Amino acid sequence: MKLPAHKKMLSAAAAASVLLITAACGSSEESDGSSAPAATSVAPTDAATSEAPAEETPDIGNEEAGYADGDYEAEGSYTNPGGESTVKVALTLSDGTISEVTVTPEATNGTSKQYQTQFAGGVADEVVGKSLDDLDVSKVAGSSLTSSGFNDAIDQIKAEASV
Amino acid sequence: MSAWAFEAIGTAWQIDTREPLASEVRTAVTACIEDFDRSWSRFRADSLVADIARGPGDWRLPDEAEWLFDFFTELHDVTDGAVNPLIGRTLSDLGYDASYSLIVSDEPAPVPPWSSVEFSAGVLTTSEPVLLDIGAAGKGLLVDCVSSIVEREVNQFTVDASGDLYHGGTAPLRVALEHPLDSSRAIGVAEIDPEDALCASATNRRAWGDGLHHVIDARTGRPTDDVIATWVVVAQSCMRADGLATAHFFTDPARLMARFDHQFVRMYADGRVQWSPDFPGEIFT
Repeated sequence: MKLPAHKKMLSAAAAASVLLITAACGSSEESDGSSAPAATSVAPTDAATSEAPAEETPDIGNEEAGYADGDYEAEGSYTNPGGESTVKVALTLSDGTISEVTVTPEATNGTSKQYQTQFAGGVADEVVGKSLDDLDVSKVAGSSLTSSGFNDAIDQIKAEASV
Repeated sequence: MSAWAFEAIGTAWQIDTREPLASEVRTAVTACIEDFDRSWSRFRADSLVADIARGPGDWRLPDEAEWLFDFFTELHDVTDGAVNPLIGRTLSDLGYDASYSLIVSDEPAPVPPWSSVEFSAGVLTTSEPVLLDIGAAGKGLLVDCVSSIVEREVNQFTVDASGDLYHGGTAPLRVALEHPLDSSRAIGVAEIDPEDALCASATNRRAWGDGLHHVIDARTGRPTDDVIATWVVVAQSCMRADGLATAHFFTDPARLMARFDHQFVRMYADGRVQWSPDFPGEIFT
């Protein structure tokens, strides 16, 4: 069985949340600034190098920030039946908090790539929808309309319940 | 356009054609539905399914059982047993019975394993009374049967069994995806091609009490509550669209995508909506 794509999305999401958690810990507990970022694979990209987070820690004055602002990137890899796959997580820290996260699948294996990208953009929170009156459609597909027998039974129960 | 509307197998049907269907075609459609119901209905005492529920035995099933049970076996495997046509007794005990008692019995029967029955060369062998419920894919199969009759006579038609639909013709068809919590709204529109089937399944209408509805997880014997509505588009087969719409209540979408050629939309209880990237249509995000 092939590794379900949404598990991969979860892997990517998990990678992001690990970073979020470490950043949060940094805010509350690492005010001495002596710790390097906990995720060892995190390396500052060029944009952030000038504010190298680890070496100059004693001088990081803002006690709420365990990490220096800047852009960071990390890669996570996982094994699946189709081979090794990786996801890249890029995030931006500003004022000690994460202001932007991007997760990019980097599968080399054809099948994995297909599944990693399969759900890109395919999720939305709380879809409210549009009024049917505003749509130009020939049909509506929802759950099956029920028979009069079922509806009568429901009505009867409602009637009994309301006595 | 001509619309022929009727009620059958416990739901509303409509067959749209350019010209009214000839009466012999209507007669053939009605007979096909009656045969199907007579074999498979869990809601009538004179059906084959009712006979099978009375005691163990060897039961010769109609031809369509071959496709249906092969497909059920695939669905059973891919959902790790959540889809299982032996849920009939459990559904009945939960109140969805032949007389629509809608009363839950104290101890709903557990669902027998699918492996407890054997199907070979058109014969079902049961070692105990089992109550089949082919609802997961049966209506789609019947839409396929009806479509094949209509198709012989006209080339422009849509068979809509309220939730399960097959479109024959030359132009695409736009179908609103009804919001499961507000039937005056749509969460999106599917634009399906000729020879596509679209099936919708939701837990809102066939529901009769607190958390009680007709989509049962055979592993727990209880209604499922994570996903509340699904839509599936499959080329050529309404049975497969119907069964996959059921499977999407239980199983990781990627696993289903890897195994079956289809497109889907699913809505979770928290209002989130997920869909396959090539879903033909638009989701109103």
